[in-house]
Amino acid sequence: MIFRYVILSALKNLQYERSVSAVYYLIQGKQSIQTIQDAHLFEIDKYYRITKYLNKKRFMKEIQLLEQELYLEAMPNENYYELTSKANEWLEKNESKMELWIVNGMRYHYIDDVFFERLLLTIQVWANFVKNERTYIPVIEKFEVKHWVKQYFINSKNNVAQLMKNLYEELAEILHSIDELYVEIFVLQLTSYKKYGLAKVQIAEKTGSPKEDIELMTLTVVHQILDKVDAEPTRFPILAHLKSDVTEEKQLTFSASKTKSLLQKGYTIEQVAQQRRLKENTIYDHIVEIAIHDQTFNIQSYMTTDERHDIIKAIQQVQSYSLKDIKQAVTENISYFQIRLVLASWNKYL
Amino acid sequence: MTRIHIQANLYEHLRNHFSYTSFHEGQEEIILDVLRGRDVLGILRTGTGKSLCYQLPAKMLPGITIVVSPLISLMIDQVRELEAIHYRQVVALHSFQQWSERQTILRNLHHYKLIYVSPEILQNKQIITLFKQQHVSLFVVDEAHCISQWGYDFRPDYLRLLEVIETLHNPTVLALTGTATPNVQNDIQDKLKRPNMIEHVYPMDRENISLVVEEINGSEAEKLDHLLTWIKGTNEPTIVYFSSRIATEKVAQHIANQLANKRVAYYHGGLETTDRLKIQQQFMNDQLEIICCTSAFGMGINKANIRMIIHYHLPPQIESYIQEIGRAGRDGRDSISVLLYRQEDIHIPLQIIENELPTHAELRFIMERLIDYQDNKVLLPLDEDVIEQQFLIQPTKWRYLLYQLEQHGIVKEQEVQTTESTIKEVFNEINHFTEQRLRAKRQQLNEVINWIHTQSCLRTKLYEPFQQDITRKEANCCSNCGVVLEDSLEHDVSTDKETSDWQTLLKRVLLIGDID
Ligand SMILES: [Zn+2]
Repeated sequence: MIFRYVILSALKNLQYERSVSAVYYLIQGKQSIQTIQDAHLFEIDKYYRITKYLNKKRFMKEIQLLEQELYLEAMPNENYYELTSKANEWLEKNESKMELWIVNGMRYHYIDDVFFERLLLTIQVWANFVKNERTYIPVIEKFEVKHWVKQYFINSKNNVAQLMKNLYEELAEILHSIDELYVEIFVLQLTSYKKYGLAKVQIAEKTGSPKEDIELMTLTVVHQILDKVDAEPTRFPILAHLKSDVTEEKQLTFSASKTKSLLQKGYTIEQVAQQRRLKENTIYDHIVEIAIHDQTFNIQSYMTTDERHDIIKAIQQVQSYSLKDIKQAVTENISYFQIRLVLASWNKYL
Repeated sequence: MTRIHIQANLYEHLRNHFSYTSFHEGQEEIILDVLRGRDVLGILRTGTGKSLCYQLPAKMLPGITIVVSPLISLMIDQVRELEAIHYRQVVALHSFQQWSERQTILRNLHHYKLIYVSPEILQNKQIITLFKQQHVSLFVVDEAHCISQWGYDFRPDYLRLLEVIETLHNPTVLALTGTATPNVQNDIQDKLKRPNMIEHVYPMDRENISLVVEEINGSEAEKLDHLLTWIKGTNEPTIVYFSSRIATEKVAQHIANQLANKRVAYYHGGLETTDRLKIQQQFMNDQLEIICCTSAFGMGINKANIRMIIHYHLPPQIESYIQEIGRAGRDGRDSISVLLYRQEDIHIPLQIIENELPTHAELRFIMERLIDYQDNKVLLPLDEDVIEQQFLIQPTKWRYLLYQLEQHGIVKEQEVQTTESTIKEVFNEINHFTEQRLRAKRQQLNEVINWIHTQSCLRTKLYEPFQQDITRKEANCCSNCGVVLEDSLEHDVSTDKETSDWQTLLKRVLLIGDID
C-alpha cells in the first residue's frame, strides 16, 4: 500500500509533466540534475532515493497493475499516465494512515543504509562477544561496514555489556514515539547471538504486505532515528557515533569516482577521456555528477566568475531549469556543460 | 623434507588452522601429493571437505594459492566460513565487488595466501598482470567438471583457464569435483593439457541415505498433499528442491498455512544478498526446519544434521541430483531422499532447457542487429536490461551468446568487428554448437527419467556410472528394494513463534537481563 501511495502521489505531484520513468528515477535515486531538480521543483524531495534497490522491471510491473486495476489511465504520450478518480479517492482515503510514514530521502539517502547496517552488525558483534562466541557469520558483508564496526568494536571492547544497556535505552526512547507496527518490523530484523533477524521477504509473508512496503516502513524508523539523533546528538551518543563520518561523496558511481581521482591528480578532461578510452562528453557527465554530490566541489576551474553570474542571472530571468531556455538567455560562448555545472551546485548559488 | 616430516607438519597445521585432529577420507592423500608439487585430479563426494584439500596446503606452501570457483555465492560462503574460524589471509575477487574494495585487495595481493576468483576475473588483464608478479604456488580448479562439455554444468569460461595457468608460469594444478564420470575425468585432463594428473577418485554413494522415488498418479494438488505428508513426519532439518523460483514461494506459503507448527522459508537467487544470508543462517542455527529452494541453495552449506531432501520437481541431470541428496546426513545418521514425480512433470525441465539456449530465430535476429552496431560504430551495451530491450533476449541467453561471439572474434570489448560473410559463417557455427548443447541436455534429462523408471535397485543404478563397487545397504536401501519408515511422527514441537511486544524482542536481542 505504501509503495503504491508513493508512486501515485509522486506522479500527481509531477503534474503529468513527466513520464512514469521520472518517478522511477526519483525513488530509485538517479544521480542526474534533472531528477534532483524535479524533486525540489515539485516538492517531492522526501521521496528521493527511498527505494535504492528497486529495479525497473518491478516498478513497471506495478505501473501495469495500477493500470489494470483502474488507478492509472494511459495518456497519449508513451509512458505518461494520469490518475483516475478512483486513484484520487484512494489517496485521500489513505492520507491519514500515511501520516505515520515519515521519510526524508533527500536528507538521509546517502547515510540511511550505512547507518542501519552498522547498527545491525554492531549489535551482532557485541551480542556474540558477551556470549563468548567467536565463530559466527556476520550479517553484513560490506567491506566498509565490516571495517568500521571492527574498529568500533576494538574501542568498545572493555565496556560492551554496559554499552548494550545504553543502546537499549537510546533505541527504546526513540522507538516509543513511532507507530508500534513500524517498530516491530524494525526490531524483527535485528540479529543477535545465535539468532539471525528475519529477512524482509519473511516479514512480508508474515504481515501480508509487499516487500517494498516492508522496506519503506523500515526506512521510516531509520529516518526517525536519524532525525532525533541529529537534533540531540549528545543525548544519543552510541547512535550518534554510528552515523559519524559517513560522507555523501561515497555515493558516486564507480566510473565517476575513477574520473574524480584522475582529475584530482591534475589530469585535464581531454587526458582523462583519452586514458579511460571514454568520450569527453562522458567525462563532462561525471563532473556534473561529482558536483551534485559534493557541494564543496570547486566549479571555478570550468568557468570564469562572469560566466557563472551570467548563468545565474539567466536562470532567474527565464524562471525555469530547462537547459534550452537558459542557453538561449546567456552569451553564446557559454556551453551546456557550464550551465549544468551551475545547476548542479544550485545549493551554493541559487 | 622427508615424508614423515611433512606428515607431522601436516597434522600440526590441521590443528592450528582448523582445530581438527584427523582427516576425512582422501584429504591427506591429495594434500600430500599437492605439497610434493604433483598435479592432482580429486573426486570426492560433497560433504567430505573437498575445500580442505587446498585450504591447508595454501597455508603451508610459499606464495599464493588461487582457487577458481564458478559460483560467486559459493566463494563468498567459503571466505565467510574461513573468516569465522579465524583462518586469515583469505579473500575473494569477483565482479560484484565495489571498485574501491577490489582495488584495496589488489594493492595488497602479497598479503594473502588464499585467493578465490571467479573465472571472468581471470580475463581481466590488469588482474592477471598483478598475479603474474606474485609467486603462485598452487592453482585450484574447483568444480572442475565445469570444464567439460560432457559435464553437467559446462562453463565455457573454464576453457580459458589453461591459458591463465600458462601465463602464471605453470603452478601445480589441483582439479577438484564432487561428481565426474570416467568420460568427464579424461576430458578434464585433456582440457587442462595435463594427461598425467594423479587421480584420487573416491566412491560417492552414501549408505546412510535411503532413496525413495514416488510416482503420483493424480493432480498437482495430490502431489502437494504427498509433500505435506512427508514433511509432517519429521521435525528435523529438511530441504525441498524446486526448479522454479515462484514454486518455492508458493509452496512455502502453502506449508506455512497448512502446518502451523512448522518453521518454513523460501530461498532462491532472486532474493537480495542480505535476505539470502539471513535465511541461510537461520537454517544453519536451527531457527528454521524447512527450506523451499531452487538449486541456488546448498552449495556452500555445511550442515551436519539435514535429515531429508525432497525433490518436488525432476532434477535436470543425475550429477546435480547426486550432489543435492549428498547434503543429507553428513553426521552419518540415517537420512532420506524423496523424489516426487508426476508423468506431466517432464515438461518442466524440457521447458527450462529450451529457455536456457537461444533459439534459431533469436540467433538470427541478433546477428542482424550486430551488423547495425558495426555500421553505426556503436558499442554493445553492458547493462542487461538494455540488452533485453534491444535484442529481445534474456540475460542468461545473452551471456552464452556473448561468450560465443567473443570466441569467434566478432566482439571485442563491446565492439563489433565483422563482415557479412564472417557473420554468416559464425551464425552457422554457433547454431550448430547450440543444437549440440541442446541434444546433450536432453540426453542428460533422459538419464534421469530412465533412472526413475528402474525396476531394480535405485542405489545401484544411480551410482553405477561413477564407481565400481557400491556399498550394499541391508535395510531401507531404496523404494524398489523396500524402505520401512519407522513412525517418527512427532507433533509436540516446541515452536517459538514470536508473539512478544517489541520491547521484549529488543531486550532479547540486546541480551538485557541475560548478562551482567
Ligand atoms: Zn536398493
